[in-house]
Amino acid sequence: MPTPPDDDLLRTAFRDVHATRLNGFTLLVALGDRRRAAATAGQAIAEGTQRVHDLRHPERAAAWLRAKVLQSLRRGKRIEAPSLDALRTLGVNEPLLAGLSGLSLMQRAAIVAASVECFAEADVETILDATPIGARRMVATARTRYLAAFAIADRATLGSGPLTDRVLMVAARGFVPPAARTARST
Amino acid sequence: MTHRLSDPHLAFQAWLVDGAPGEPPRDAALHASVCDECMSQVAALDALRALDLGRAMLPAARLAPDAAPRGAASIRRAGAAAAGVMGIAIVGVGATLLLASPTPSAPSGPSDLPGGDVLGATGTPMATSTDSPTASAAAATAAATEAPATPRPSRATPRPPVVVPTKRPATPRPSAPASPTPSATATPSSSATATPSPSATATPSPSATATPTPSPTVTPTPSPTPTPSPT
Repeated sequence: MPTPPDDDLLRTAFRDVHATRLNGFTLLVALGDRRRAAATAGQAIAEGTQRVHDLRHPERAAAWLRAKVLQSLRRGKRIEAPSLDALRTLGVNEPLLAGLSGLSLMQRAAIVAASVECFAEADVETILDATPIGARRMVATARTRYLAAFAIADRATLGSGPLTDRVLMVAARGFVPPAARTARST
Repeated sequence: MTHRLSDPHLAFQAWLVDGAPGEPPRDAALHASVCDECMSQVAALDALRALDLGRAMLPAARLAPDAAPRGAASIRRAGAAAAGVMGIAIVGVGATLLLASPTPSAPSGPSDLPGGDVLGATGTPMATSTDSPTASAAAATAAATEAPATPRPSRATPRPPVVVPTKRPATPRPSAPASPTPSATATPSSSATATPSPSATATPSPSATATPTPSPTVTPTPSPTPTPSPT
């Protein structure tokens, strides 16, 4: 008969699985406020480890932790000055930070949860503590505002990434050169 | 024409806002490939998706939860305690100085300040213990001067700490060192003690100040000098 795993081991595993990414999420949502992010994420992790038996599913647990973080951040004072220093390690650059800075706290959480961490819709609803329609609307609004702000902050950069490649590939697939067109018609 | 162009643009925007699931409509993708605005927005989503939250450091709170707030609070508490101790020490030192100094400096007391005469009078008791207190007490209750003996000393003692500190630095200090010698000349002040008794009833403090101040300044200086020279 297998013995149940030790609680301490479970807690340690819980921390190891969730702490780093949760801190990254909090840093992004808090716009690089290291101290606040560490305190908030640490508190959420501490609460999570107390309920480690209820939070066995990793994605549900991750959503629960982010919801906790968001609750704490909403209770605290408003984040005013974004700091890029702490965010560079995550890959954040100036235009991206400009795009995120134009959003509210909830919108930042929505876009990070949906577009960066790619949570399922149900988990995004948990994080935002919103109805399915409300969460979907929040994410759409956040994306629209972020895209507009990013485009204003950085007009010159042409993308190079998987999404850009996919769009260009689809565009090339549909493109029929004029010479080929005339050859077909004849 | 404009309508035609705007449709793929809007379709592409809608696809992006929806999270760019699957592949975009072909005409929209074709439009986007030549539209700077659409491509910059694609780049924006690419930049967002390139973020790696796993590269964030572990929260410091993991090792020591709420370490920073507690540390700050303890520092604040220690600072407050240190400030309190410092304050108490300063008050204590000041009080001891106040209590210690009045006796030597008392004779020099009479000065320009309104309370100075009273203090000067209280100080003068050195010379004549009985009479000068009457002068000081007379400032408070002139009518009660008839029975000065017993209550006055008690009043005289509390007063010096109150007023003395402000006045001392100004003038009395120089005269204080001279006070030991004038104590010999205090005998003239005993002549002044004769005067206070009448002045006590009328206006003790001005009369007391008027007479003593000239007498110590004039007499003391000559008196010490003559005594050394013969020796």
